[in-house]
Amino acid sequence: MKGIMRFSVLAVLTAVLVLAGCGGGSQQATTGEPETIHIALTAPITGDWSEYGVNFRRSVEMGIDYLNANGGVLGRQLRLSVGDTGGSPQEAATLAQRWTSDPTIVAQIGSFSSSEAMAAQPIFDSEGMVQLSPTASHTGFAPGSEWSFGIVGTQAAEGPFMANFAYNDLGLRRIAVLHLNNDWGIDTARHFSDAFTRLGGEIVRTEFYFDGERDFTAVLTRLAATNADGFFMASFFNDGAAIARQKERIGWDVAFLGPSSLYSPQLIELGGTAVDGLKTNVSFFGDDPDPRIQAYVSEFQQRFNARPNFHAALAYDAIILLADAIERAGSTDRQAIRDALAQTRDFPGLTGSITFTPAGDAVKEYRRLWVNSGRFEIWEG
Amino acid sequence: MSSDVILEMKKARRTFGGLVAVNDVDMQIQRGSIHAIIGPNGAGKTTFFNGITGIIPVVSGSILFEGTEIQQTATHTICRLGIARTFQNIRLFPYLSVLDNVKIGTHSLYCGFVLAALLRSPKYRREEREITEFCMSLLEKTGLADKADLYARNLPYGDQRKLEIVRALASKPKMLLLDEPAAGMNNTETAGLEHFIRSLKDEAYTIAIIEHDMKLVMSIADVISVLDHGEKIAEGTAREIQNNQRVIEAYLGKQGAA
Amino acid sequence: MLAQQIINGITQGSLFALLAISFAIVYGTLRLVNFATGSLYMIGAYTSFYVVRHVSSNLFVSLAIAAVVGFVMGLILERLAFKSLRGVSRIASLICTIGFSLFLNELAAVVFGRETRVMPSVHTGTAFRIAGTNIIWLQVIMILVAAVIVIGLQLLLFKTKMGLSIRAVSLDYKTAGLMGINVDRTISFAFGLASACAGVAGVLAAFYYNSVFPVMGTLPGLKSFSAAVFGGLTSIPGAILGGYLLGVIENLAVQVISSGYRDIVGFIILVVFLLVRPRGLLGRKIPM
Repeated sequence: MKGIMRFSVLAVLTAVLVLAGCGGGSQQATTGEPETIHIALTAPITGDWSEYGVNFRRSVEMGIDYLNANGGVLGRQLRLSVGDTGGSPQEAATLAQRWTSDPTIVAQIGSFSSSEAMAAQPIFDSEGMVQLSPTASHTGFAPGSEWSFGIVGTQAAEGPFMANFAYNDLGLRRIAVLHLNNDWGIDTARHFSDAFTRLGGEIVRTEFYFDGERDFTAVLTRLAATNADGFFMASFFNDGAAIARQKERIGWDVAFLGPSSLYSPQLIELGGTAVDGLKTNVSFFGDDPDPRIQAYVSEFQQRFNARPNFHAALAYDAIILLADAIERAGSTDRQAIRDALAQTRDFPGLTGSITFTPAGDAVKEYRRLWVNSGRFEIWEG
Repeated sequence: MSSDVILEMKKARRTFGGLVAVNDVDMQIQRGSIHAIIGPNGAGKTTFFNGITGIIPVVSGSILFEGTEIQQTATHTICRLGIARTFQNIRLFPYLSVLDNVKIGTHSLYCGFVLAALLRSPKYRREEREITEFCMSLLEKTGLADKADLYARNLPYGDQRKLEIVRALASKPKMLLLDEPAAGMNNTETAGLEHFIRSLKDEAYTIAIIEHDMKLVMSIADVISVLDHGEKIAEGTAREIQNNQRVIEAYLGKQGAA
Repeated sequence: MLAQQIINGITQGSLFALLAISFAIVYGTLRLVNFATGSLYMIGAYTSFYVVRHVSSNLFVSLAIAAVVGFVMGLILERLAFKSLRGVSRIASLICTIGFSLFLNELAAVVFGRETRVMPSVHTGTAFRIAGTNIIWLQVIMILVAAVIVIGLQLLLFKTKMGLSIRAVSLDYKTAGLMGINVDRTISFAFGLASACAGVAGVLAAFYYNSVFPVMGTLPGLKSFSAAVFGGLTSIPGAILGGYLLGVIENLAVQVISSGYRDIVGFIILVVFLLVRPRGLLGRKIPM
């Protein structure tokens, strides 16, 4: 009896470990007639990035429903297969194998992180299939293969934009930098710092932190001891909110700013009044009066009872852009779609006009944004 | 000696793999007696004690303590029923004070609730004071009172043996099992021990004792049981045992007896 | 500036100290490293999140409820993971704590959601200033709560029967059983006590960092294990010393070396002590 008890406890725990270890690679396919055009979506539907992955799926499904209701593409209906990476680059690569070996699939959207996208890249490259990532912003991603395209824009463009914002609009000269210590954070801090230095400003100190850190008081205390007149944090909104609160707590009163990853309603929820005055930028702003954006926001809210964020809008742009490229190619041939996509000029996306550089990166337009009394607003100077 | 049986064993058996350490032993211990269990090394004496106290339960047979079957009872419950023991190799808590060691022994007597302790209720404080006074009185009786605050490991050997007995007494047992209490003692210490054990008998404790010091055993035991290879080969008074042929064989071997 | 870093370190050290005590109590009684300690801290933090929403925003109400929840969680964990595995092998129980930790983290992710949830700011007014350094009431409260728990534990261990039982069990549980101590219940109680400490630390962290999220306990759990080894795994005074020293050393490392070395410091201490002085600063055979 006792033995059975022990065994079952172990068995349950093993099961938990196994479940926790792998995100699963479930595939959800909507069946369609042979006439359909079959597109794949790779996204972290489960795991730590599931909020983003779920928004990807929502937006892409919304886009396909819209296109199908308006006559489809090349007169044919679109259908979608969704693969879940669980946030794992290995799973992203496995899914790439599956998509490229399925002759009905013409192109792929995804995945969320640069790490996932870059792990899958060699497979799309050697098999010849479009890999259109809404959000991969690593400067190494799009140039890595002629089949890879990124539409979020890279830090190579956003960094100089923020540096200009800091130097010319805010009049800052000496900036202290704190960044998340991963590929993205290092890249972001580097591009900002390089551009700011080129403008004539000075980076007085750069510090970093590891993912999962919650106590920033020590590093902020150190940065506060410099003579900086500004503070740049390359963080996501949850870290950013904690940093802002602890910055306030130690009484470091200095202008602060960061990349568009900080733009989320959650930043204000988590940061409270401590994030007031934060400067950032955005290429999609939910409160933009533009009727196309308002139509998208209200339909999204109606369907999913949630407000779309920047990442959701990028995924919507990705599916509409891909449909546009297929239409322009006049064929569902994988090579023809790639060539048409590469030719994209001034595509009117929700996240701004999209034109691909020869490397396959989109050149984004950025707008200055700040937090004013608990709300994000366009910064008017 | 009263004829009232406090502990009765029926066909108690304990095996370790193929080895039979206690082989279907029957035994009765009279209330208020000093009952010695002797036998050559490896005869199964300590296993016998372990069976009574539930550390290593018997595999078959029954053990009745005051009419209650205890062969499958948890050690701490057996302790609460009124059986306390000492150990062949001293098992004091070396890094607790002498007084704390004795207090541990009182554990089965009081049920102090933690909440009461934290709130320091009057009842709790009274109980706490009673425990300390009782334990100190035991230490005074045995001459250990002035060492109450030392770590047990810092006591001389003879005192450690004594402290084990005091700790066993702290649970106010009806029956005391002493496992080689005189081991390692010099003559003076053994004489003191003999005196102490006699005084316990006068206080109406039942005492079962395992001992190799035959002089001590013969002088204090009312009944002696002899174990050899897990079997009880003889039982009786000191005189009867001294003249028992099987006992002599067991101790000296057949040639020696011949 | 050094003063500010030391204050930061002491505040953070209070959290490490409470968690290190939790490790020390479990290791002291069971000779087992409970790697689920960080998850119990997380459960404490989420408890306060819901207490603040539905019961009271008072910090002390959260502390009391989380201590009770932590205690009960500890009893459950002990029953599921250790009682059933006691006597199998130390490694089985150790792995079981890791499994239980993952289980709790994933369960929290499913039940509470993976996103960071926000806690209200309380007691953030300036209490006093030392050497130009702002000290807020919350920091004072955290240090005081840690002190009260430490003193309470010492009283419990050295002035009560249950404390004596715990010390006896930690020295020799077989003999303790023969003395009439209910060893199982004593171990469960000690485990509950340790878990309550972790839960209290979680509440303080939730208020101090204004946020709760499912994996919040992982890093503090590992670091305070280092702190416990640093101080001596069996010693509560050692755990306290280790916790505060680690907090201060970490914060000073950021000031003197670089922020990147912050997390490494704790683990360097762990490795060095395991190699050179495995019994830690104050580790002795004397229990607790």
